[in-house]
Amino acid sequence: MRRNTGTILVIAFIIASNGCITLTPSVGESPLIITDDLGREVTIPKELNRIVSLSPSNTEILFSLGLGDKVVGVTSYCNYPPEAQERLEIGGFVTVNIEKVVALRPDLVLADSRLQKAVVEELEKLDLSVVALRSDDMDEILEDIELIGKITGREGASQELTANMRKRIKAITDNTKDLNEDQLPHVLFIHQLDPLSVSGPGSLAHILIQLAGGLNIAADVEAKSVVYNLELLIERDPDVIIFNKNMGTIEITVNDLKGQPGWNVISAVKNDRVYGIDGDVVSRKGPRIVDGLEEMARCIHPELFE
Amino acid sequence: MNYLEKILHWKLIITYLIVVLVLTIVITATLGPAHIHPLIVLKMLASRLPLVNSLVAPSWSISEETIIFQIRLPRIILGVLVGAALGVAGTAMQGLFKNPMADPYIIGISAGAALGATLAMVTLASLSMYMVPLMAFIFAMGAIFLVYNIARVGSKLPTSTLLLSGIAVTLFLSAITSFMMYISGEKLHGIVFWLMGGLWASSWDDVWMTFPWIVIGTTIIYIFARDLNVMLLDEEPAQHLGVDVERLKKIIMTFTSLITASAVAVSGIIGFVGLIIPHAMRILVGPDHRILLPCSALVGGVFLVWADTLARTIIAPTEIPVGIITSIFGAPFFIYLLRKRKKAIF
Amino acid sequence: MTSVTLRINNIACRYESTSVLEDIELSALGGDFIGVIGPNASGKSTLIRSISRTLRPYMGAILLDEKDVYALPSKEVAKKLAVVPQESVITFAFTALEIVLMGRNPHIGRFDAEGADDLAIARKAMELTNTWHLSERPINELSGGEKQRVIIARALAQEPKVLLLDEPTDHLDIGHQIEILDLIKRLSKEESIIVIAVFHNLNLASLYCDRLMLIHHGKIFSLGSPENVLTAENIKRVYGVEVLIKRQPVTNSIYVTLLPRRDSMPPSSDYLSNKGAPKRMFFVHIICGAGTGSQLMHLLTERGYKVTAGVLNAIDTDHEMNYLGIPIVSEAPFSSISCEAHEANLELIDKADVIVLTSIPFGYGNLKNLEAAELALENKPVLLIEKEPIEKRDFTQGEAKKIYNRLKENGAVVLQDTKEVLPIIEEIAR
Repeated sequence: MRRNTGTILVIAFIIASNGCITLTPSVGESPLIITDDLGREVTIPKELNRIVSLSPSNTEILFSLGLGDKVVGVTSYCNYPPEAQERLEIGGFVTVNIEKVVALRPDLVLADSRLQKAVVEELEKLDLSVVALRSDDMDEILEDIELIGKITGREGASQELTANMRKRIKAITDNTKDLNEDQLPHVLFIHQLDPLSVSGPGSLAHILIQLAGGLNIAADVEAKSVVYNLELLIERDPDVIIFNKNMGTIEITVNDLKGQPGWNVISAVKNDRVYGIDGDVVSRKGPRIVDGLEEMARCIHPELFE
Repeated sequence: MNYLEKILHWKLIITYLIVVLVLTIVITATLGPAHIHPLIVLKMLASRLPLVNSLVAPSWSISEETIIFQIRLPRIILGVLVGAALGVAGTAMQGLFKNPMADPYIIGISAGAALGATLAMVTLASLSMYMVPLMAFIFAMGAIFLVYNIARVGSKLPTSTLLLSGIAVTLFLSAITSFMMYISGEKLHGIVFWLMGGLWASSWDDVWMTFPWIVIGTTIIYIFARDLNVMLLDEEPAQHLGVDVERLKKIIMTFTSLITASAVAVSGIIGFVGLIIPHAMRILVGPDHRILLPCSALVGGVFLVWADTLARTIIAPTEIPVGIITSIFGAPFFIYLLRKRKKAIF
Repeated sequence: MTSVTLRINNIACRYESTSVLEDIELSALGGDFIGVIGPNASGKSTLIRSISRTLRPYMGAILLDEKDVYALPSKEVAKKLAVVPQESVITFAFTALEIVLMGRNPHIGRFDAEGADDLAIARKAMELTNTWHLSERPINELSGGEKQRVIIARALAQEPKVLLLDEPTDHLDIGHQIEILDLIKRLSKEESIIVIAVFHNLNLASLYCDRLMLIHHGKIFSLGSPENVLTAENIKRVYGVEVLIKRQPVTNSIYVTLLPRRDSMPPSSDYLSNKGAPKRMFFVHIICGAGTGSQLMHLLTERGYKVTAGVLNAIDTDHEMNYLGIPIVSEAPFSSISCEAHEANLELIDKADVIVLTSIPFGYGNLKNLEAAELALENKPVLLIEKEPIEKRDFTQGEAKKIYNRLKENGAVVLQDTKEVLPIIEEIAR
């Protein structure tokens, strides 16, 4: 049934475009229609002058493609690049203020398909062009960058960016892919300290650990982020601990971690291999993810990447 | 003589519960997601006991020792303290207010503690291990002070006004907490987990921070156990039987607040224990606070330790907030007791 | 050991701004049994509350052994003063013994537990109140009466010198009421305890109290011995009801009988259809006795007839009807009708428009009443109520029967029942 409808639509589309060409040749090429990560078909307006980004990842991608001037609205979390904070704030991540978005009269809204379904539906009702994106691994991040490039007419810039990113990723993986299991340090990525919350399978940090040649000791948990049992932290004895050094906005130092009761017996602590990194670079699905990967690689294999 | 038999019976119950508590501590010390053989754990425990320690030769690693003595044991002991505090505080509040819905949090302690902890988490720029519990404690006591002064009519503290102002202050503080959470951004994670309550990061520091308050508070409440019994007859008869009702209210309120605030400061808001343990104990041992208070303390401690043991092992390596366990396992058991009894208990 | 003293010095109490007690003065010594009576909301319970340290008077003082009770710690007061409240709601499953032991609370130190002597005192209190057999039963499973007796035992376990009771026996059946009040009375004398008890039942109050305090609108209306306080006049002014005050022959205590208010009685339908009250004074004389006339007297008075009666014996039930203001010719108890009484009776008969002779038994003592009826029949209608044939009522070996039958022959109207009297009198009156 679905397929039939699709077929009919395609046929109708062909007829319609044929008609266009013949009847009004001045219109030129057909409008761009893309399917976003919610499976919605979105017609992209040709002229894009006002873009609202509803996620920090999208904001970072837009700025990196040189579209910073066209971004008129961002979320309160969009702190990178610093200029992004000068744009009008349209609310939080799940607490988007619809009125503010509409008032900005955007030509395009870039949303997150996982957490903003309801927001997308509302904006859609108001006849705004909304593209909802989602990426769960490196390849999807690269695809999303290219898709945004295509939508915004920056295909060239985006291709160039992703090519560079692919090169940098390869530079890491070339060094790590042949390591055998004994050469993989046991790593734990801590994104919150109280309670001890770590990144599990499916999370970007987990993927980065693997790419950087480490073994996530929390690989057996059931979710991307879980509260982790302290005894297991000690029993599984990670060689390397990497933590989000600004959990929220609280600055956490290496010594804070080393001072946790009982942690002095952990190899990472004993061998001084506890590293704080900016949590954003390992969680934002944008161009900076490669920075995150490189930083992790330096933490996990300093001998290879110094 | 039945009365003397009753006293003897009480002593037996308490002895029995102390044995259960000790066994609970020993058994739960052998249980955990880290793979340490129970026998090794027992040996480790023995090695720390005077007299028998010379008989045990260390046959375990330093990490195993750290896991048991730095992670598992302080967590168990803190569970005993928090469970006991909540059990005692709930019993005292229900008795003092003659209200079956009363729990340790009823007059604003939880809401005050939550706001204090949230404020600490949202506003502090650097992490200090003690700021969150300290702020939680200060705000909990502040909330009680506020409720007390709102409810006070001259030198008297009418119970219904007290309960209502407790509810009003709770709602008000919760609204502020909700607002703080709304604007907290990425810190929401920590706040939500704190509000759910848990013993995940217990250390000996937490134990030593709470131990004196809980022991002192519980002892003082116990000293007034007979007065609490008389209070169950209602305020006027209690007055006629020589209880200084207004003074008793102040004392009980102060010390239940103290022990509850201490417990909440280190464990967050663990629900259910303070409400249900006193009721369950009332069904099992009767309304006399001289037996009810120690039983609620011991069983509260035992119950919370077992609930927490499940919380840390059931889907290891992941932790579950212990409040979920206390409700999931405690509520059906309590309903069973209610049905079995089939009599009004309050 | 000196006796306990309780002095209430001109106290006044109020709730919020409503004054409920004023100018209350009382002085009591050990052994005094003082009853507090008065209508609802007159301030009786407030008085108990203020003495028991629950409601502080805004004026005056309550001195227990010359010390202001509000200046003493509650524990000190509770050692001397116990209270039995109107009602105790105890929903917790304490046993009766545990409840009674709570009475020992003021005597036990903060860090002590009940000792053997406390237990002995509790047991004695329970035995006195006949509740020892209930000692292991949960209090919330006892009946209202049993519970109240346990509460009284609790008060006794306090070994009080002053015992305040707020309608203490209202939940009890009469057997237990008497038992408990007897006990309290005895203890008050033996142990020299001041008892101050609120009573609803005026007869119980007069039966047990040495002194009564009648409170009306928060003030002492009357204070003194039961015979001085319980007068028909006082009760009418305070409670607004008519009562009959008698002295009980057995106990010699004042005995109060409540009477329904005349103006509140429902008028009967035929009274209404009768175009209001009789237009002129219509006199009915009733020759009755042994209670056979009371009902009729009541009925006729209520309808506005002037009723007289005679000759009755002074302790006769019918005689009590003189509260209605009915002129009654009476004779000393158990005496024959004297010539003077007979003459007086005939005078009343002379004034009457109609004579009613109720179904009384006749002996030689009251044969004169029958003769009076015969004289009346000469010029007035006479109604005979004959519930039982004269043969059964004749204790004069036929003499009464002879006169009675003559009455019938000479035109006296014979009625089977008292109910038939009113319609006939109404007919005659018209």
